[in-house]
Amino acid sequence: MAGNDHIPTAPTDVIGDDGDLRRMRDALRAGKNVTLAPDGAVYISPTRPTR
Amino acid sequence: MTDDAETFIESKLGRVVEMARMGYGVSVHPDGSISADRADHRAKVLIDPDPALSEQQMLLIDQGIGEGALIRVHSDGRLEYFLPLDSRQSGEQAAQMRVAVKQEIDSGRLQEEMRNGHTLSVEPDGTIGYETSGPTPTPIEFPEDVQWGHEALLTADQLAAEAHALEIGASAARGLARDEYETDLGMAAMQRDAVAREHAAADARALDADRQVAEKQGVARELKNQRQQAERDATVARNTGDTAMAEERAEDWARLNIEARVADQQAVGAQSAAADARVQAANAKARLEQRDADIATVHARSERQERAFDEQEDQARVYRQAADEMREAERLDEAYTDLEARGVADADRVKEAAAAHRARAEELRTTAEEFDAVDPIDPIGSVPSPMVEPAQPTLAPPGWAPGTPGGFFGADEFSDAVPAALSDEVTFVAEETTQDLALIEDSAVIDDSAVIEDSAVIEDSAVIDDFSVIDDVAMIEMPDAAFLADEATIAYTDRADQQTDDPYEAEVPDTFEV
Repeated sequence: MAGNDHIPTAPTDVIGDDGDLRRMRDALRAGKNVTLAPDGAVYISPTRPTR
Repeated sequence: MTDDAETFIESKLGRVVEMARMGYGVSVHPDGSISADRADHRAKVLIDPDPALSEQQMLLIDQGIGEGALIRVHSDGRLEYFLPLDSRQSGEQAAQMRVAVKQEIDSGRLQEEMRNGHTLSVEPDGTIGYETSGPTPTPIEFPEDVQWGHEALLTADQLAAEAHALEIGASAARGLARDEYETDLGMAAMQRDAVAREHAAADARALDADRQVAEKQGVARELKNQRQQAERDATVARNTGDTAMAEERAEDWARLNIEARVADQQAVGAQSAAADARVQAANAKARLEQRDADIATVHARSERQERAFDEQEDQARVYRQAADEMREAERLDEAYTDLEARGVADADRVKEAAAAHRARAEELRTTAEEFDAVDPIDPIGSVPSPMVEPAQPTLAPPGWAPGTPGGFFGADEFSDAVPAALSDEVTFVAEETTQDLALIEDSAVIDDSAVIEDSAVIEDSAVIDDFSVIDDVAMIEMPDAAFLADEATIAYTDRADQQTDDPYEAEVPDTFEV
């Protein structure tokens, strides 16, 4: 997988912690899309974005 | 999200987190598909639960070939796209690559290689081949919420088991709490006693120093009287021509002068020791109060714990009553079934009795469950450990008066004053604060514009009025040991005749008032 030497991210330990995973779990079980971002945030969207 | 989709997502969750930490925004969809796009859009990943390549994956492969990107299709179905900064691709080579890739897919060779743990690699230079797939991150399960409480207790056995568990829990917790209570109380009490001894010792040192002050002052006065007498005797002898006597008395004067100075130094030393002892006594008293508070805290915590354990035992008792009622209902239900099967008359009365017992059991169960309305996590709360040494005051607080709770300058008058605010240039203004090492004790009164500097100590019934100034190591004590010490000065705009630099000429009587 392509690495990253120039994209800024939040400290790795705060990305995908238990709180993030719980929010993702709840949103997915509610039928929503979730995005785990490199800034450490979890974004929830109601519809499937265009890929 | 279906259970299958959740299982699939959990199998990729480690990869999701890893990609986000590498700068990708990773979108997860309830159907299990995952798409990741790095912030510079030069790296993308598509994952799909369908083993066959999805339409989106096919489109990305086509796009990547056209742009000169590196494409990898891993054995776990993950498609990677990476576009180098210097990417270039000719239309003719791209067309050939598309045909080759389509052939791998259509022939089934790609699926076969993927099943064998191989990755299809499509290089920008047109190379297409297979390589062994790398390791995949460990799957992660979504964390589940912590569940409190328990399922509804419906049978007699369940109710009895709950009662038993509560009884055992209360008993065990009570035992542990009692051990903790003994340890904490013992430690707090021992520390309190040690501080009480320090307090008593400091008080005793202060009293002994006071006694020394009085004693040395008396000695100094007597020596000065003798010195004056020796001076007078020498003068008389000199005037009468008795040279030998004059020299003898002059020698006596010199000796007495030395002894008087030593006595002065002893008195000053004793005064300083008394002041130090009183500061130590004040500090010890503050610590003593803290230790008393620690003991009270230990008692209060123990009482709260005992109440909590009692409540748990009460709850167990109610559960047990509910279990008894439910057991009787179950017994009657069985009896009813048997009676009904045998066609016994009035069997319905048994059924009604069973229903009554069941209703009572449910009522008791509801009552027992209401005990859980209290936060089960920390009904006791926490208290500071008596093992923790409290901060030690370095100076007696302003207005503190040893032996007289609250003192004349009570907390109400100087509640805002703190030792840290003290400075060398002490100024007392009516209803203001004290500074430096000054101690104001008992019924001393300091009125408008009074100024006290350095190590002044004012005790007992001293009264200092308007415009008074006390410098250096001045000490005024009442009733018996009141005096002004080394180089003390009292200046009064209306009583200038009472200014003095000599401590022993400034001795004040019991009713000292300026």
